[in-house]
Amino acid sequence: MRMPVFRGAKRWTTIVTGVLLSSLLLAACGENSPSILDTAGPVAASESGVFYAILIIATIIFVLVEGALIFAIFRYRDRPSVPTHRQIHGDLRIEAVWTVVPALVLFVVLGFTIRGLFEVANQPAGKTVTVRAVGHQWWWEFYYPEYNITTADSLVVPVGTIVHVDLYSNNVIHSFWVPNLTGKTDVIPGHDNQKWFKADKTGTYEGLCAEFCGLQHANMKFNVVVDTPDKYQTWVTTQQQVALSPAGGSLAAQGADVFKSAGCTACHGIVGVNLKSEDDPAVACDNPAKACLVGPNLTHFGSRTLIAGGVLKNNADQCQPGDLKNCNLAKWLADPQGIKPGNDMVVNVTPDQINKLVAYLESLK
Amino acid sequence: MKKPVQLDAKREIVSQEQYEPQDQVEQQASQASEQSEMPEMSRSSQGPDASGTSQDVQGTEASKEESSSGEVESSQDIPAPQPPRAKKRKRKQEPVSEEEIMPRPSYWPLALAIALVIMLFGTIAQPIVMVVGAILVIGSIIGWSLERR
Amino acid sequence: MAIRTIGDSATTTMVRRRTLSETYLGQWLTTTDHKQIGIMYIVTAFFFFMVGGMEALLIRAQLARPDGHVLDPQAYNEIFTMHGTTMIFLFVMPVLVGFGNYIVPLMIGARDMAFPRLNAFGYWVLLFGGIFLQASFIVGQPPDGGWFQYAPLSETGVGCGLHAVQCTTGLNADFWALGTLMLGVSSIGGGLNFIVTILKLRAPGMSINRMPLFSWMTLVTSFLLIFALPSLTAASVLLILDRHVGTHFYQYSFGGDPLLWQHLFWSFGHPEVYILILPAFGIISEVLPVFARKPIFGYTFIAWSGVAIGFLSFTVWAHHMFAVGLPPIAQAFFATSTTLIAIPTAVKIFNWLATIFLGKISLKAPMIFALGFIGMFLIGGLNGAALAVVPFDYQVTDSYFVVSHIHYVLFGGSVFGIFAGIFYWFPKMTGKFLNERWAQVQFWLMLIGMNLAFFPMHLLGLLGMPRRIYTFPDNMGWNEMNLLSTIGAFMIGLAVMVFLFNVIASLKNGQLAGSDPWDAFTLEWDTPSPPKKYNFLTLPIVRSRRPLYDKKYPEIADWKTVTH
Repeated sequence: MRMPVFRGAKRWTTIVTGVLLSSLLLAACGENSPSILDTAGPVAASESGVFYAILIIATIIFVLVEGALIFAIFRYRDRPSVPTHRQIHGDLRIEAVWTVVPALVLFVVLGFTIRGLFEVANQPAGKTVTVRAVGHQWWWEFYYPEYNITTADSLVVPVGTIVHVDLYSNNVIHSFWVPNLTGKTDVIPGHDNQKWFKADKTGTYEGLCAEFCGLQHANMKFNVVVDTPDKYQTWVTTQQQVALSPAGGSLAAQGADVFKSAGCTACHGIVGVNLKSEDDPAVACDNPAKACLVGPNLTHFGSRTLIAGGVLKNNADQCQPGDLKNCNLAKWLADPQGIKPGNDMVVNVTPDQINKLVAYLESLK
Repeated sequence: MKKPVQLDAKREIVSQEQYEPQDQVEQQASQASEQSEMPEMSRSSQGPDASGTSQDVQGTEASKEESSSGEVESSQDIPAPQPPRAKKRKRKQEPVSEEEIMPRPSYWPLALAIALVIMLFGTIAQPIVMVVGAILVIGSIIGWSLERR
Repeated sequence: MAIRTIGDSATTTMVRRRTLSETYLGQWLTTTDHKQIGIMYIVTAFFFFMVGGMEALLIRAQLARPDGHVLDPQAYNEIFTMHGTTMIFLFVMPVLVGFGNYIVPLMIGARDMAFPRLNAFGYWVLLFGGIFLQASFIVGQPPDGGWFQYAPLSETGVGCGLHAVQCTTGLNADFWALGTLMLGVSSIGGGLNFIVTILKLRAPGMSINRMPLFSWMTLVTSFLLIFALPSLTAASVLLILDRHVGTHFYQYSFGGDPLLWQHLFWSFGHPEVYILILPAFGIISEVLPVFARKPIFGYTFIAWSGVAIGFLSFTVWAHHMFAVGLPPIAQAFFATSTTLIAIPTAVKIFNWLATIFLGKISLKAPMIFALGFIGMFLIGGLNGAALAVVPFDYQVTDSYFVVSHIHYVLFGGSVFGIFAGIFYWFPKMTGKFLNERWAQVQFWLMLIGMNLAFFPMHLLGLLGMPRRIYTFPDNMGWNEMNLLSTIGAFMIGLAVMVFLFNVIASLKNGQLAGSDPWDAFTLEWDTPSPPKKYNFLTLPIVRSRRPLYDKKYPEIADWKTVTH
């Protein structure tokens, strides 16, 4: 029976194929995306290199098998002139062929797989920076045990250096993923997962939480800022300082007072204000006797590029006193629940207090 | 114990078909059994002319309903027309009624299902709900086991 | 609705009150007839399909544009969790069990299942369990931790950790755990029933080697059900104990381990996905031969590859956990087992292709869905094999690449298989055809819609979009593909509307179908449409794999030409 639709079968096929293929072209639309194919380090290169091999093999198989399917549909479709063919029940030889051949192809791929997974598992020797990445709900904290500094939202590393990441969470499972630099590893409470990566190019790379962790899993981002070794060293030195005390009487000093009085110290720490020094979160947050603050450390807030768990850029240049229309920090302070509903920050500050706080926080370079 | 009238999906009384032309049916069957060689086993032959399993039940064939262990109806001992609810047929020689071989309806599965859900719901509701549910579950299981089929 | 009194023939006139089980409703409530139960499963499953489908459309509406405001984060988390849970536990599993229930006894020449009351019980627990799960919406606390509810997110506040803040303090996770417990009971009972029925109630002459492939696949699925579901039951019970009784199985701060949940869950979860697809494989293996007018090619290989998949499915579970930090040697083991399980699947696809080669393909509704199945499942299999490549998986697991894979195999696979089964067996179940034209419209809408919806997700995964995010910002470069995906999803929704319309119109005025509308080969077509309550007048004797073909074409009967 001829289906009316199939009179235009060729036309349909062209349309469908065209639509599918053109969606591939949309990959070009992902220019800003943290693409796994846009690699900036050896781990990502190794993982994504495998992708191209898979893509080629899969495309060949797809074209062959799907082609056979479409060929069969057209060639063997029911037409009045065609008699019913011989009733073939099977053929042992051809079964052997198409069991063995796919098995061989798959085992070749398995070879790539096992080699690749051992390759990225073993951390090579070389200059290393160790970081502890802590997954909170819903922001990332980075603690450098070698320097005893902690920061949030931005992971600053030197280029060409191996970064060893110890993953820690004291709440739910998160996952540390920087597509341009490395595949993901889950952060599992109670497990000391570790990973390593290396960045071969300077730049800023998007990081994401990749394991569903609750309400604001979507807004738990971070970035990896890869600096030259000199800039990195400068950064480390600055981070090791106690928080800058603002000049007496300035707007920033008033902001410091607001910070202390408006309840911010319940969740945020500033070394030199309400904290004496940094603590290793893996130690502090497992110990009921120690302080494990809910919010990020703000000691050097002014030098960060991201705020609020990576949700907003720290656009300090838009944060002139009195002109905070476009200042992300001000927007955050005014209504954290509006920007990131369900997060733990609940504040009640007046616009005047916001003005002062912004001045203070942005001064903490 | 009450035997319900069997209704098929179209709500026709299946059992009536069986009984309605009872006399004629059994006569025809007995004639058929005299004429053709019915195999000892109840299953019809596999050939193309197997008794019409593919067609809707006709009156004549209705009598040929047989269980997998039943045998051919005899030509002789046709019992007097009985009330439709007479159950105790002599198995060896009579066609088996649908009520005898088909699983009968039962409300215990429904009861046990409801009881189980109540019991599990009780884990998040008041404990008394769980206790009531557990009692209902036990009761349903007992009722299910004791049901005579 | 008056009941007819038993006739006024020479026999007896009897009039009495109807009992409860003779009323129309009572008949359905107390039935133990596998056909009625099968229909109840299928109809119920389709209601839940709509529910899950609406949830999918809500998800896609929220993700159509960046910074969407259709759903707030809590609602989004609930909706995507319930979408997965409903579709898997309340649609695909019940509908495939429903088909099994209706068709398998007919196919093997039995009068009913081995345990008719257990059969009914399985359905009722499904119905009430499903209602219980959906009732969570009414109390405002539907499950919100994802369809696999990882611990410790699913724990209560205490169990999260010492200084933890946000876990599932409400009843959400409890609804999920209890709901899946109930559905597990239903599935295990059904599985047991199928195993005994298939192994013990086949018609004389139907050796296991001559059984239709749908029965084979149902048999393997039933074994998977009874061995896999207890794992989920155990996991759920431990979760409920953690949440309510004060145990600490998944709570690291008291010595438990969150990974225990993952291992237990995926020990169920992986066989589960084969439970979702194997009966669909069986349906395809029935439809293709009939519409290509040839026997299935390589029956033994298809049957045994199904068994191989069944066994292997218990060895691959940690491929869902490649990113959790297992030691590399373990990763290598699971990569190997996952590779192995791809081989029988490939064998099946080749056998199906060989079935239609040199055939006489009639492109009726069941066949186009079956062919679409092969095409789409192939894509799902290829991107699944890609996910087995562990280093690549590190990049794309938990991203939209996985979402693409699961929907190609579940929608392009299971759902297309289900629709093939519906169009194939609807005439048997109701005596009427579904409209062929509308079926074509539905098929093309679904095919194009699903590719539009799920193909861009490959790219989204490659471009770094993680799963289960309720929104995404404007500047990630994900906007256009998400919009395309939403358009595809709504096309699928439209196709489902077309299907519903088709069903309703056909039930009213459909073209009448006889007992064997497709000139098919297996025993279920040797009965009237719909079959009588007792299925077969006399139990058939089977001499080959295609007993009805033998009966209709005795000169070229299979038992004359081949030895099986």
